[in-house]
Amino acid sequence: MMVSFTVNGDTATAEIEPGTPLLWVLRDHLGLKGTKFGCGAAQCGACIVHLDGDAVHACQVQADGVDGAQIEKIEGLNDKLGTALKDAWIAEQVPQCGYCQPGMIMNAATLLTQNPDPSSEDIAQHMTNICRCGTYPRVTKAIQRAAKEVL
Amino acid sequence: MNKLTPLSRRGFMQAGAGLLFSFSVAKPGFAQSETDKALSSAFVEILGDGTVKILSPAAEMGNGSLTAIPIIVAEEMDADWDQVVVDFTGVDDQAYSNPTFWHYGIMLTAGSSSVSGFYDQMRLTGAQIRKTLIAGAADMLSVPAEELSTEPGMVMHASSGQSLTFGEIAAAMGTPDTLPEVTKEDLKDPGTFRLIGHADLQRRDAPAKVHGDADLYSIDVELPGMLYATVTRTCFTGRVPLDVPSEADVLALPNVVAVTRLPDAVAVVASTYEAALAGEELMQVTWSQAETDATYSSDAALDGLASLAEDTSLEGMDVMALAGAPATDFGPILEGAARVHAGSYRTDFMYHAQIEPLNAVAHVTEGGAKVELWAGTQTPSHLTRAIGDAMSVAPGDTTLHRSYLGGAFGRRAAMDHDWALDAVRLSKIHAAPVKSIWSREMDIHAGRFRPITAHYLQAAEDADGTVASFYHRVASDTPLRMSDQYRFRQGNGFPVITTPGLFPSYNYAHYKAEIIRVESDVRVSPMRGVGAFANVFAMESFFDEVAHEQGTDPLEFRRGLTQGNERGLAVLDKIAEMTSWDARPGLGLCFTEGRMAIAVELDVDPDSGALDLKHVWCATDVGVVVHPNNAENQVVGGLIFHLSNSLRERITFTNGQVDQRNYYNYDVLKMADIPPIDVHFMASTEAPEGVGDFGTEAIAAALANAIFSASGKRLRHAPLTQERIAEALKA
Repeated sequence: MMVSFTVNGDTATAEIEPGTPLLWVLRDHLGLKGTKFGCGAAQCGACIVHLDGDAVHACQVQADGVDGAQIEKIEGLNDKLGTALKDAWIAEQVPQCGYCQPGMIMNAATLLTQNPDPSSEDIAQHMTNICRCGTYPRVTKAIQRAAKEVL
Repeated sequence: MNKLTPLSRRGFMQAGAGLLFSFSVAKPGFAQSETDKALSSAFVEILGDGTVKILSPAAEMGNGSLTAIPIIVAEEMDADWDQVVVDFTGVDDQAYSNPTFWHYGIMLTAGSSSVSGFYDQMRLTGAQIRKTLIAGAADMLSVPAEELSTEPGMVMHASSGQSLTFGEIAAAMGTPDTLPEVTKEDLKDPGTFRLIGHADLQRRDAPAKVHGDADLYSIDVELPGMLYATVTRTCFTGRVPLDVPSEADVLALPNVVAVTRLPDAVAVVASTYEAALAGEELMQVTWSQAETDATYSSDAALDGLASLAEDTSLEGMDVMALAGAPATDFGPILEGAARVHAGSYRTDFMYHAQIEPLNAVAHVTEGGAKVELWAGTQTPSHLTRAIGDAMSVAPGDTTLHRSYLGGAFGRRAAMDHDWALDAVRLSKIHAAPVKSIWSREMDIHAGRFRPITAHYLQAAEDADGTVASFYHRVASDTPLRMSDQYRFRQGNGFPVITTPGLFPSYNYAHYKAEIIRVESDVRVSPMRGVGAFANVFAMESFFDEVAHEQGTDPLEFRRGLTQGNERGLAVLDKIAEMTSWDARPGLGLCFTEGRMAIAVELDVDPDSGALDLKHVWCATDVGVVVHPNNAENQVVGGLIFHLSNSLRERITFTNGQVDQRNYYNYDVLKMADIPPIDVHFMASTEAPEGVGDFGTEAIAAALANAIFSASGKRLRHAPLTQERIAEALKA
């Protein structure tokens, strides 16, 4: 079947089997590799993208169910908030292996949209992504730095 | 008294490393045209426009070596950091083997050994390039070399006011036939360092990782006509697929191309990865030895190890004797003791849980004669060797593209590289490029685990109440057998992965560590911290038990055995200051490698056994800190990794099957679980030690000691899960 949606502002179409997770449509059918596969079970958060503005695990969303939707992912997150987050991530030197970071940044963008000035506790409650390298303390600092920048 | 000189694990590994330093003149394969004439060596290329390309032999798996190693070279050659670009070296053991692993002469990124192992060699390499540039400038300016000096990116002639950029010199001189000899006399005084130790230097890989750039990791590589694969394996080594009862059902799925048997696995090959994953879900395989494997349980295996560790009539391998010290007969020491303290400890199987599942992309051409491979590995030269062995491909006929690793933690040091060989074999069979990705479920089920261990410790107390003689017996499988047949054979079975944490951190009167090696068919592997995770958990827990039985403050007890190690004493003083040490309830300490102290403060909920982690402190002396910002990230990350190991993580086997399937039942710490963490690096100009896993695994003992301090209950089995704490509180 054919699906069509907007990804990072561009119209995209793909021929897929019914029930295909959005993650594989984005990564393999459309070739946008910034969004990562980690667990396939909505546990690690490496695949988080924005679906009509909400953070979702792309491994759990069936692509045929989101025909016509607006999808934003790491490569396209370049508005004021997105730029502030990416700059803060570099300023705080967050990444180690880096593999979880696109999902982290997408989830952080949702947090700051909902709560522009989060406390450390707010951040810890919202950010359930797994970083196996243990960059969590720097993620917190980067989110707070970006929040200051945008406020 | 037989006083032992402390021998750290890295001290042991590095002994003799200096013998191997060599200098390659020109790096083979570096294209140079007459129009873009440049100076190139094995690690450095300078272009006419002044760009300085510095190559790092180490893997980039989050460790930051791709930045830290070039910093060392750039420092000694006086490069302008803004003109430096970084990249990986090629795969060549002769030119690029890690000096730490001098026994083997291989390219290996493991054991916190990249900056520490390459430090001297990279400084000399940088100094050699600087000397070359000065000689070139002397010719160009017709002045004696002695009158020249360097500033970042420039050679200066102070008396005439003339200067040349590195680019100008390189363009004029090209690569000389020989590079000048350099000695330690040519190195900078550390007091004049401009880059090493600089607080503001940033990692060169950070922007691409933050922006989600394509093709950083092998999992992101895409080739025309590429097929996708999943593989199914057992959780035991060397099992053969006998039958695939579900083959027809898998083949009936849309976009599935084939069900392909490999020597120890069965693959689903498909035109999309989602189809390959769907096929794996339906996959049923009948394996060889299934009936006997079904009797395996990790609990029973651990009981077996404990009886071996506690049976002191059974002789194991004397670690200090293997390292060249005299063997110790501990029997008479115990017989002569006024009192003998003893304790038993255990650790469970644990899983690396790197977020990027194991994967590789292979393109085999010319009927199997040529292999092109994209993979993230901790040991590139062993990967090409493994392909050569398995597929009869000449070493020069494998081209490896060294990808970033989305986490490794030892998993990608497993030298047979089964996960990469899958892709190579499938590409050959299907005559197409193949991307093979293990599902998370298979990454766990067929994981290679940090082995289970059982420990038995004894300490001899003299008539005057002094306790300074320790005997540590550990029973464990030896990971190298499974992960690295090459090193296993060359090392004559020396259990290099089990020994860390068994070399003495203290100045003992008498000390003996003994390994009882057990061989099971469980797939085991080095994992961050390797043997030190279990060995230090046992040893440093036992220290607190002995101190408690003596009525001695745990910090004072450690100070007593650290006399003569001034750097170690300074670290202990620092941790006392950081924690305002007063042995208050809930405060726990450990000290490891003679150079790192970790303290934890916590509360234990008396009903549920839940921990409230209040603070973690770490004081460490790792010598020169080359890249402080990243070093702090590495130590904090190591503490969090091992905090997670210590509190939550366990792999169990029931009826020969791994019980855990995904992160929902292999529980790792998330942001909400992380306490405030403070790390202090002692100022030093000594040669650098590693920081990535250096000592951070010892946090397991600090936690056990803090739990005892808070609750009076001693946990002797890691991980220290809430369930185990609750059980201890009830007992």
